[in-house]
Amino acid sequence: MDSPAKAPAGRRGTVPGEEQEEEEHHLNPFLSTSITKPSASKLQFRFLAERGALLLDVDDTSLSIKDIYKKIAEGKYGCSWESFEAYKHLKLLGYIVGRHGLPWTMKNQMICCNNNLLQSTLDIDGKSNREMGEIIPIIQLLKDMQIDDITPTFDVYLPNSTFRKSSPGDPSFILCLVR
Amino acid sequence: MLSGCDVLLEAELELGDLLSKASFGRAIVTSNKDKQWFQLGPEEAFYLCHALKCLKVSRDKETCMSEMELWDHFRSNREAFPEFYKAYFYLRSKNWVVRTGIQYGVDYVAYRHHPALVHSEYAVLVVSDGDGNTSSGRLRVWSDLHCTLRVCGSVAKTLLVVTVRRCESDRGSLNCLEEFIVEAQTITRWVPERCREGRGMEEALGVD
Repeated sequence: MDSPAKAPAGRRGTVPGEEQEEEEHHLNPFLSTSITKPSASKLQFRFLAERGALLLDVDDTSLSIKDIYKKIAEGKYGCSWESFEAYKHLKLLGYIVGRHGLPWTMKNQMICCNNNLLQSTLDIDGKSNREMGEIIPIIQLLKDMQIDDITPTFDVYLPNSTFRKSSPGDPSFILCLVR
Repeated sequence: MLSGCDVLLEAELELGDLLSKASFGRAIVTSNKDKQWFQLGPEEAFYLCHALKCLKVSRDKETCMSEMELWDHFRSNREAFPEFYKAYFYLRSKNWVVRTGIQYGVDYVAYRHHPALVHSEYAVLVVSDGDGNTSSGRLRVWSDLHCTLRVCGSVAKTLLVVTVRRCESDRGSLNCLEEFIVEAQTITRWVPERCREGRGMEEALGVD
């Protein structure tokens, strides 16, 4: 069912300028099913969340919403219903949302096979965590206020049609999820 | 289907209609027109499961969780779940429609009728007389009380404090639900300038 991913493969069904498309479809149902492929954002989220695993079934049969929800419930790779809700809400409003600490594109990196990909992802996380500790004093501020367990979840950028995955720039906001 | 803290329910149109009318859960917008997905909070889900006995929750692989398993799961997410559930149950059993109050910085909001028809009357905070993890830490200091009252006032709600007294029996078992003692009180600001005509002192009054 799952097969090793290539980096952009998860976004099957997107078109360039996907952010505009979503804004047009603001009032339309967000998640698609049956013949149409799961929406780009869902894919994108799960792509970022599940690095290295293909998102759709190979045989052109899309996952039903129920299956998607089940996958989220499994909680792998940092997936959770709560973070999905937050992601969905912001995406519907037109923001550009990415996982904090994960690169937007893998274009510049060698991809050999599944295992290596996962490993390199983990390495990246380790590195970015160190950077994060230096760059984000606000986390320390929050800790001092005894709001514990705050870790950044998403980087959020204002709606921007010139957004480039290869050089996203600094995020406008950093979103932390608190239980 | 259990997902994190909440429960997701796939409903046919008729059931969806019923859930909406009874004001349980929140409908999730999807493109599927035949079935609706609802998101139920922990208290709502447990109420449907335990009190009304009309819901079964599965974690994965289609096996249904027992009430105890569900209880333990919700308790593991939040230590004070028993007290919160007891408060929810208490209000629901008095025919209040109870929804989440997170937008107002409180635990619940209570509606006299369906939310589509009226605004909520009460902003509910659940406090327990336990210490440590079971107490939510609210209203321990005057400043919190002031802040909460002000917020409630700006959104035209009365603060209702539901106190759930600790029980002797093990909080791990469902029996503790029977033994909790619940008290509800409203708290309002007394504005001396407005009371001089003697229209009534509106301080802490017992509800029901």
